[in-house]
Amino acid sequence: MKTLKSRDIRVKLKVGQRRKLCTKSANMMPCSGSRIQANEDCSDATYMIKKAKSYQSSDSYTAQAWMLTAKTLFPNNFSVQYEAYVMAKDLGNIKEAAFNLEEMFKLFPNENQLWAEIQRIAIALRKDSMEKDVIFLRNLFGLVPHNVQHQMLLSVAERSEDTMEHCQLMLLLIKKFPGKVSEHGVKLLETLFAAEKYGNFQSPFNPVRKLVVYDVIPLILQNKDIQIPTKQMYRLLQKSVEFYGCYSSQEQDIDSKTAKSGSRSGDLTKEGSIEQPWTHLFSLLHAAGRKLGWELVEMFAECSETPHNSDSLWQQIMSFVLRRNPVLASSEMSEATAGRIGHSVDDTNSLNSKQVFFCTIVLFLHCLCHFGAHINPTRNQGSNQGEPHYVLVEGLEQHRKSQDTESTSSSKRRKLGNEVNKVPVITLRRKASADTKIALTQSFVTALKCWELLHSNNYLEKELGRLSNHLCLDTWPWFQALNIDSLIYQGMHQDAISHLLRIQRTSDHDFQKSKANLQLASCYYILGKFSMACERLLDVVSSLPIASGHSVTHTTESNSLSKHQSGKSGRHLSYLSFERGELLQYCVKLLITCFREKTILSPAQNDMALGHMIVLSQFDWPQEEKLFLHIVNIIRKQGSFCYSLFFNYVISILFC
Amino acid sequence: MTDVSLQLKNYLRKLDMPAVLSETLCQIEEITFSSDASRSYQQLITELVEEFVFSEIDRRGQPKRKLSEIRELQILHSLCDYFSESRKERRLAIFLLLFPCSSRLPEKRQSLLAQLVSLAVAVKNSSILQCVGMWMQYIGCTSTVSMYVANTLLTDYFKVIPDCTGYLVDLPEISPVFCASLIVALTRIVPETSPPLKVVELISQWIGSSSSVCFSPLEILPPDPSHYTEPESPLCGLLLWCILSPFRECKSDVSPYDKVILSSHDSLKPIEKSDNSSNVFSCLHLMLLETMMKSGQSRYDVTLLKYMVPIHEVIRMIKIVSSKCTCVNPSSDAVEVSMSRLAQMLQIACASKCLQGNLEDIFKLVHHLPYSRLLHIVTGFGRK
Repeated sequence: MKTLKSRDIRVKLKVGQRRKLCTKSANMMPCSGSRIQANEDCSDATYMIKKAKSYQSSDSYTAQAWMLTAKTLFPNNFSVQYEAYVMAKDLGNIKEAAFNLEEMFKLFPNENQLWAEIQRIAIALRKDSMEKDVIFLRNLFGLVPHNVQHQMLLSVAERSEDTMEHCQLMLLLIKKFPGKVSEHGVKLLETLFAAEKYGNFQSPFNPVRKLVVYDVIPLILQNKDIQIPTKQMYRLLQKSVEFYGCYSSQEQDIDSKTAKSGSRSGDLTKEGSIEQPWTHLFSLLHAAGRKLGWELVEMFAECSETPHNSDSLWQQIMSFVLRRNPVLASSEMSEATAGRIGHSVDDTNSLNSKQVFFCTIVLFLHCLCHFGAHINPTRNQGSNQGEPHYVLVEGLEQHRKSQDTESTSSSKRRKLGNEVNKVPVITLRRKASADTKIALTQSFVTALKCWELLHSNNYLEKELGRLSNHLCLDTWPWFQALNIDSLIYQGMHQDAISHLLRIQRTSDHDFQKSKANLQLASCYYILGKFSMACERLLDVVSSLPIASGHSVTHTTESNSLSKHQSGKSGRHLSYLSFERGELLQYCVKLLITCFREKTILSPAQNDMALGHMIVLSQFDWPQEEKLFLHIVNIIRKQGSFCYSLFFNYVISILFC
Repeated sequence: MTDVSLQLKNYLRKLDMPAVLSETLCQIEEITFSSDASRSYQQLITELVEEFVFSEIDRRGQPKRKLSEIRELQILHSLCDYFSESRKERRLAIFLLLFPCSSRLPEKRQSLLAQLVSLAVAVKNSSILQCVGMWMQYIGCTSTVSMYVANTLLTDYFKVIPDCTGYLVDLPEISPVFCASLIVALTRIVPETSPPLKVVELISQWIGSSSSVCFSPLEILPPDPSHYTEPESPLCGLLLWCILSPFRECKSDVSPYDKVILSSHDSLKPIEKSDNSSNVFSCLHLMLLETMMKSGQSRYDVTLLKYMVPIHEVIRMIKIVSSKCTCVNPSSDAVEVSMSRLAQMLQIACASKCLQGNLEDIFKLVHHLPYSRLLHIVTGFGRK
């Protein structure tokens, strides 16, 4: 009854205060004697609060003197104590407000108003906002003694009916009081797991999982006192890998995500974004591995966000495997012969296999995502704008070189394509930055190696299957790309072609189609199917991206590089940047190469084909000068040359 | 007179001014704290003080004429030097030998003491001020001598120096107990209804900077265990100022005392009008209430706290307030504010245990005051 009354009056007063701002005369009213007489019937406590508030704007000292008196007169009256707190807060007396809050918390544990206030403070504590009110509440809370802070957060969390809110508050608590992690951490984790289960989320990338993986697990792992059963640790790791994997895939896939956010779990939007997700995952794996006594995790001790050292990480995994797990090692080494060892690993190996699995899968996903960032057209444009996309094709130089030295038939070439155990060289054609070169080629190769290792025995394959199911790895667009590129890399062109044809048929994306066509042309070429290669090339040329102002860059770099490397390796692959100039250059070169196979090297000469080749040789002049002279020689020999399009297309004055 | 005394005196007589001063002080200290010190030396010390320190008598014991100003300055300087260098635990004993706790100090010495205090404040000599503060507490802050010292300080710093606050503002840090004793004396010297605003503001600053000032008198120990003096806190005097301040606005803006002080200097013309001065007092009032509330968290024994707001002081206050109220309209705002402050003071003092004992006499007196709802609430609660 009492509280109800005082609350009513408070509302009235608030209205009165607002009015006071408008009319000055109202200021005097509460002070005048007659006014007080009229309210004589209200309770003493209410009278005093009213009196105190009447002074608040004109003379805050007097207001506080009244409030202080009321506080000591009615120490057990909640509304008096609460009003004293509110006034201290309004006047910016942060110390006093904190003291009042603490007192109320001890004396009135059942007052809703108090809980609402503590909840507001808890919300302020979770916010990063620099709003004045929020900062004030945070500072206020900071002045409350530590044990009371802990009690307050614990109580407000326990009172919270919403599980997510409860968990948020518990998280806040263990963040504020690292000493309490061992007390509440594991229980919080269980609550969150249950919440995720009942939340029916479609993807591991959901708000509950984020709390678990991003916030709670690191805190728990930091704590030395908490003992977690090994099985549980595996579970935590699995969940973490799933989360960060999905996060990275969705982050890059942001366009399509916003497009179909309705169908996706879509619970985590922009505010769920994480800075440096990989660094987080690495340090999490490192901390967890340490708890498990895994020596291999040391390789993640100081890992950066970008995979500059992915190759050295791979070396560390390999050397560990060779030392600890000959079973894995032998199977890995004999991978080329596809000899997979089918027996299950025993217990001691299981420990080693677990760490091999987690370290490898994390490295794989990391490399895959970085590979995807360069390959995938719909990746997040915001981060590296202006960076072109890259397409893996067969290099042409060394091939032609071999043609020059020895005139061989197509069967020879086919043989060359099968020389897979010789590691192909990958170059980037354009003047790509060193970072890109390393990131792209290294992550591609490392991802491939990891993938092979993960398929090298049943145990790892089983683990991988389980995880990739949760990750929906098959639906990642750049996983497809990796698959095709790896087939090309391994010289399995026939398989690559069947994949590419499917993409070419099903994709409705222009870029995907062009890319598939280009790779098809490159594959047909290597298989000696020149007509089909030319067909694909024409498709590519007809759908070239609109000129972006890039002229053809006559870099000798790529040539010299290929010359230099073709000596030691049979194959040379190249990542083309998907830009008009570079694509056109490649297409022309490939066309010339195909035509030459068809015309010059075949006994039946064809004026039309020779003419076309003259036209094409202009493109990259004087790169093809030798070819031009060769054609001129042929024409001289045959004595006549009939090419009706000569004056339409032969325009280079250098010929003359 | 023993041979030793005579020898000592002869030795001292050969010394020049001002060397003789410091030497005498050292000798006095040595005699007092020597292991075979006994009452027989009391006489010697008194003689040494009279002849060699203050030059009140000559070698034949005859009173001397007035000291020259140079001489006075030399004495003050030597005392300052001696007290800042002497050992902490010996200071008070020596000080009490120089200025005994009797209400009748020789007139010259009393004036020298007042000048010593002024000098100590100026040079921030905390050793001397601590001794003076305790001395005032022993002798009574409202005794004639104490009031004389306080008044001299007031005149020196408010009349002579244009802006005294720079010199006085850190007094609570230099010597809390002197600061407290000075306030007690000041609250008696100036008229209760119209203390000079400059003084009120300065005191507000003191209390605001360190609430322990009001508690510091509780810390001092009696000079000897047989004779206990009640510590005097400045709370009551200041609270009375606040309670009476609403009546000040009814009259002229400038109190007669302000006029006396301010007339000597143009820069101290009263700029504060009624509005501002009321704020000064409501601020001071709040600080005093908060100071009392802090007694709960303080380290002082509850039995000591009763000296913060003694009953007899409260009765004196109410009587003064009561007589003031007879001159004004009982339903005026001034009375309302004044009664509220009185009620607040009573309530907080009781709640904080600064006011203890049988309050029946107080309630009887309050009954005769003009009606105020708060007073009614507070006394109603108090009776329960």
